[in-house]
Amino acid sequence: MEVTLMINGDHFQFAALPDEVLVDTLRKLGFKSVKRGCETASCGVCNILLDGKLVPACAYLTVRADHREITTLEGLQEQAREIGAYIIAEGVEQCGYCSPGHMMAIAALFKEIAHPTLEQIKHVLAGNLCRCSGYEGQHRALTAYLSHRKEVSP
Amino acid sequence: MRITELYKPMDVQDAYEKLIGQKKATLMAGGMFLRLQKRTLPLVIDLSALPLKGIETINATEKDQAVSGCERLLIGAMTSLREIEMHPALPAVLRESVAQIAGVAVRNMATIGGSVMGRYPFSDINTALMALNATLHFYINGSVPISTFMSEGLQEQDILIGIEVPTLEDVRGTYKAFKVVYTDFPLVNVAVCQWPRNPEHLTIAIGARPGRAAICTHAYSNANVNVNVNESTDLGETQVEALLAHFTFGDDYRASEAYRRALAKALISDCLLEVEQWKSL
Ligand SMILES: Cc1cc2nc3c(=O)[nH]c(=O)nc-3n(C[C@H](O)[C@H](O)[C@H](O)COP(=O)(O)OP(=O)(O)OC[C@H]3O[C@@H](n4cnc5c(N)ncnc54)[C@H](O)[C@@H]3O)c2cc1C
Repeated sequence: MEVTLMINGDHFQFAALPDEVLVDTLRKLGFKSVKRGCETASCGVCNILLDGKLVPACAYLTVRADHREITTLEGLQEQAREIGAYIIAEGVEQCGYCSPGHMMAIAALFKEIAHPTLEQIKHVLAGNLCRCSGYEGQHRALTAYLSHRKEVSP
Repeated sequence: MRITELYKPMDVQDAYEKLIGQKKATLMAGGMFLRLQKRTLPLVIDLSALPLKGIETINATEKDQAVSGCERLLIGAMTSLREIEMHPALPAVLRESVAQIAGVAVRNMATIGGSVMGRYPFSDINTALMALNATLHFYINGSVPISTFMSEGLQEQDILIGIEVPTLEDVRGTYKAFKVVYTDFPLVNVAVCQWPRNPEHLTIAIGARPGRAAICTHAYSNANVNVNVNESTDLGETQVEALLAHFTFGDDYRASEAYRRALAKALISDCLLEVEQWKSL
């Protein structure tokens, strides 16, 4: 089936099988921040934004995304660098495999709530699994990042 | 899941004709559970572009006006669980029931229609819908009470159009589930609704009990019971035990019958305490 996608502002047109999922399509097209994880929509490593909403790319059929806008972490470089600095400062990263999915979830949350509380962040990040950090470092990093955001744009 | 052909219908009639016209045609809502199946679907009918999303106010039928006011809410079958979670006009019991279903990304995709039609024994939202005495609107079968659908299913293929629930003003409810991990399937869940027009009438639903038959093949495991609680409600053990006697519980690999019963007892007690607090509002 013919599919047209707008990915990070660029136009892509190609043929896709009816059961192809976005994680495969996006990785084929070079968007490697979209990781392959559980493939049952349970772990969050393949999170992307579809028309601004967080969805698991492993469960979204490519043909269903026809003519829609996709954002991957490659399209959010500035935000990634900014949050990334706090993640590094708190020593959160070990393997780093889950980080793009985490950042996409945070980006989606900021679209809904400009200054979320830690509780709101925890609620949203509950769908993102990390096998090495124990989450505490991430929460510390995000708390620090949030106070920075409040200072910059109250 | 493998798909041989994916069809995007123009409208519900078109989808229905395809559904009954081809053997093994399958409707796809969020597609989240379909995707987990290890089978090939020869024809998938994609409902995502049909106008079945969103929440609107409708007039209540005369029968419903006895318990509800003149208005009810109709939730489109393709409304996502996340929209339900975030919608301020929906009864809290419904919003609370979806808030811990997997992550936000899943809730953005999974729909209320797919959840109802799947009749999943572990379902969070179906327990809340049972307690709300929701009415299902089907394209061909018309209105069907959710309790009837959960116990009997449908005789013929059909498309769920929407789910009718009381408005925020017409019901007070609370939902509680026990999950080992925050976003896990519940080991047991409880929803209790009270009707301000008839405050002595509580509707209690318990789900994920999980039913004695095998959990995956057992389509319906919520049991729903209407209990009249008189003014001097005694929230003691006896009453909770009496409530629990209306339900059966079962063992599976996740929890024993006795454990589920004990959890349900605690959850019901908590819910009833909340009901007591509403009295003073
Ligand atoms: C990782 C993960 C974790 C989950 N955790 C939980 C949990 O903790 N608690 C919980 O309650 N649920 C949980 N769920 C289930 C989820 O909430 C949904 O119930 C489920 O995904 C089905 O919704 P769907 O929109 O994806 O439906 P689909 O998978 O598209 O469809 C489900 C079934 O319903 C049929 N159908 C869909 N729409 C219609 C319609 N309008 N008319 C007629 N038939 C229709 C389909 O043909 C199919 O048989 C989880 C799901 C996933 C993927």
